[in-house]
Amino acid sequence: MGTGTLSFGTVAVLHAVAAGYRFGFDVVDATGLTAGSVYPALDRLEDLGYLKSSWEHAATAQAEGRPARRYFQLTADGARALDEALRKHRTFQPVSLDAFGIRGPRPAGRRP
Amino acid sequence: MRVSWLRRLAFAVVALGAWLAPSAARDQWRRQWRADLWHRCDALERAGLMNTRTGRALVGRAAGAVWHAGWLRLRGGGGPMFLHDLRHAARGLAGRPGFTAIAVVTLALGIGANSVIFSWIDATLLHPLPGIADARSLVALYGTERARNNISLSYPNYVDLRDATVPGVRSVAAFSAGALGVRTDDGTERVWGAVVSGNLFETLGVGAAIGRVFTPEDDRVPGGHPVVVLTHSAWQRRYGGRPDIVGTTLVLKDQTFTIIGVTPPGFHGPQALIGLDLFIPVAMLGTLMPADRLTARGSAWMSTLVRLAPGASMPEAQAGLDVVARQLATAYPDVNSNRGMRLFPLWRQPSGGTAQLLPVMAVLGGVVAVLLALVCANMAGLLLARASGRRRELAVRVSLGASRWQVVRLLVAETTLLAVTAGALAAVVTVWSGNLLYAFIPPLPIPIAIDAGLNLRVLLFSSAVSLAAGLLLGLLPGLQASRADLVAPLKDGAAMGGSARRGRLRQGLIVAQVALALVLLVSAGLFLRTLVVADRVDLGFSARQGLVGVIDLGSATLEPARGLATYRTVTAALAELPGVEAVAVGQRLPLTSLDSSDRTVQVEGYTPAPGEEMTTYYASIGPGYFDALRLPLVEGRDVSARDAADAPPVVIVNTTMARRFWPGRTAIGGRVKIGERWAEVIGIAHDAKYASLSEPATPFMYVPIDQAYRTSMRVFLRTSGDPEAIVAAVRQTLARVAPGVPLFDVQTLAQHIAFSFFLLEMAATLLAVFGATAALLAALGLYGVIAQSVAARTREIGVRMSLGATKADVARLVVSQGLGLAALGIVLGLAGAAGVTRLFESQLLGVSALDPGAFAATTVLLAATTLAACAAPAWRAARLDPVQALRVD
Repeated sequence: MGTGTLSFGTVAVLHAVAAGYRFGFDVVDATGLTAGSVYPALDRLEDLGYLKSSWEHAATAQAEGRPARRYFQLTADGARALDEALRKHRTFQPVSLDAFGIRGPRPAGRRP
Repeated sequence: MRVSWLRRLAFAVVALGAWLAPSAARDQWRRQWRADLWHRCDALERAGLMNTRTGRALVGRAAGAVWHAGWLRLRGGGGPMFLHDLRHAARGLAGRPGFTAIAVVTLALGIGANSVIFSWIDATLLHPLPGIADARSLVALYGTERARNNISLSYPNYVDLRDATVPGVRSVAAFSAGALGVRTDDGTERVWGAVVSGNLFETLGVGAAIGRVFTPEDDRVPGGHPVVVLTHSAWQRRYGGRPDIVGTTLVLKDQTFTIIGVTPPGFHGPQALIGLDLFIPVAMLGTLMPADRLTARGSAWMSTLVRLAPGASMPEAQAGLDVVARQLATAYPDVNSNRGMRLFPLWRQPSGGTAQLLPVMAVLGGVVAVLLALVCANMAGLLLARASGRRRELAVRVSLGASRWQVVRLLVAETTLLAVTAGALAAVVTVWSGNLLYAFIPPLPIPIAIDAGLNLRVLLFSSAVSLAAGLLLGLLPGLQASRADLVAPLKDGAAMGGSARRGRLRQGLIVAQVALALVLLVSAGLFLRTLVVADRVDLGFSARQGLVGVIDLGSATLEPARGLATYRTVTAALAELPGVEAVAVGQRLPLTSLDSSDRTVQVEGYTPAPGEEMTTYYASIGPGYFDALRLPLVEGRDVSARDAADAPPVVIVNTTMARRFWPGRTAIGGRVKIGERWAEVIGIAHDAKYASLSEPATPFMYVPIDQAYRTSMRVFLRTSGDPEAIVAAVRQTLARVAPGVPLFDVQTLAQHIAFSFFLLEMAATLLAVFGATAALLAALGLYGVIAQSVAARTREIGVRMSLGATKADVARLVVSQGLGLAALGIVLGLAGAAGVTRLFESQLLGVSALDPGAFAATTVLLAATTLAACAAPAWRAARLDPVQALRVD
């Protein structure tokens, strides 16, 4: 399946997991999306095979007196899909804010 | 809400959401969410970051869990199944249009009444100041004394407070609203404006739609900032929305002001429920009236709004203000000792429109909630009756392998569909009802601005009510139907298995409906009685054949001698008019909550108890005021031409004030220190209702206009005939003897007092409508139960008749069953009403919350209604042919 079906928010979730945010709440924090959209996105990405989820080792967690968490990891398919999606989504590229008197980084030359 | 509660709430939401998750994924879902929540709580607590803000965010995350669970169910096939249920329910309802129509209309009544009243509460109490930023951190500040908490602030006190650094307070703004005259080509036009502190717009978070709004720089030098800001509505109405408005001028009194900006649409000013036209910096007060108010620390006249610092709570800010109040009391003990400052949420302000509306809206809110409960009970009865008819269908479903959950879901789909349709109907009613509120408001000289009607909050509220009603209604009969013996109905012709319990439930619902209807009827009866009694309340003055208007001399007559001469000329000329019996000028009209001035007084020979409140309302009056208002002078004399500006100061007190400061002796000859001067009491006037019908006896004093000059006064006329007939003559006379002096806000005194009655009238009318609706619904419910019971007992009735029972016996049998239920409902309703009416006793002027007349009349009314509801089934039963009846299986 091509990444054409991945919405902007889903790509953000995939990107966050790739960047090392492994738990639902952390992904919510990292993306600024609502929990109501992040959790379904995580499940969907797992269905697509872009993420895989595992449970923390129950015994370890119990020993530390805390509940085991479900965490997510990027798969090789996921990495490819993310790379493709990031190339498609051109929204977040540096822009010139000179007109507003804000000195930002110079816009990089447009990607081919 | 406390943090621990928020934390618990978050976990509770997840626990509830699990119910929604599909069973295959439920366990994993629950473990995932609980662990994630647990770790977040743990991390927050360890970092010491657990507070109400993060706690609320946690609950928000937990709400996301419910969304997630719903998403899983839809993905897992639950969704299409539910859609299937909905389609099925829609087909079923469409097949029974009669039932569907009755159900939708009944539910729409309940939901619509709630949406309408909520939209009013939203517009008047929850969001009384539309257009401002972050309404939650804006609160009102009032001065307090031992027994009062609704005192305005004096300008010097406000300035000290504004410039103080108070923890928890970001800024404090002040304003005072009133009527002003704008000079136009053909005379003077009345507008409503406010003098405002320079930081008002900044404090409210209101910018300019065009031009700019004031900044503190526009409010520095007294008389030095002739600038004005218009509201959007005034710009549209008075200037046709012309785009080049900024930079043009307008003339108030004799001062030319430059228009510097227009506020955005929707914003109507800082005063709840009042739509203003323009704003002027407080520094310009001197061009409108004598500016001694800017320096008199004892003269309280400004309303105050406080913007809390980001993240600060009201108690934090209150603690800071207490410190400032103590400092002010120490620095200026003569006027500030024993005075405090108190913050109120905007909806709970102790004075102004919200204060008057709050109790009425609370009553109406309670009433519509009761009405909705009754509607639900009525609907539940209808659905139970329908469920009886469907038992065979449901039994077939179960025997074909449908789970109990699926049966419940089908019924819930049906009721939800009904309720949502009803909710949509209710939304239409709500759109139209914004104007209904205005229909109750009598013509007023004050521009009322209430933005009621449908908005997103109202829509959310009514959707929530609809969904809750739909779920509740479907769950109860659904669970019952799915629990009942599902095999018996399959046997054709079997007796009504398990119907005894269902019958009892339906009867219980009838009893509940009768009881709730009686509570509403009794409440309505009490308000109607209050209206009757209020007509006889001693207002202190007579409203019959009285006319009142406002004359405004303008700043040309800031010189008192000229203005006083004008007042004398005007009253003398008006007194000559045929049909005029008495004329006088006076600052104040009784039963007016606006522009009430008060002053701290000292009374010679009276030592106030520590902390005793010594402020008194007062009004400036011309000779003949008491005669024109038919407000009796009990003792002493009226003010007269003798009491000139340079004559010894005099004052007239009311009987309450006289009794309080001169107990057991006459007040005449006593001396009162008002401001800096001692005044001698020359008369005692009968008490009147000064601000509202329900106020307690209030001390009040009157000072002669020559000694307390105002550039704007009311003129009162007492006529021998219809007061409206002489309005034209009054205007002509005024134009002749005082050209250029405008006459505003002309109304009869009867029209004026109608305003004081309007809230009562509104409450009584709405309660009567709701009560009648409730009685009708209860009667219909009772009719349904009895009619069904007659149908079910046809054979029994046939047996009785063939054994010799007469038609009268049969009718009695049926009626007694219905009346038994009604009687139980009435007994419970009376008990309930006795408990409930106490809650709004303060709104019933002089009528007891247990008024026997109201209780008896409404009980009889409801009993008669229920009797009528039983009559038709009884008549039908009595006319049964015993032979036919015995053949019914």
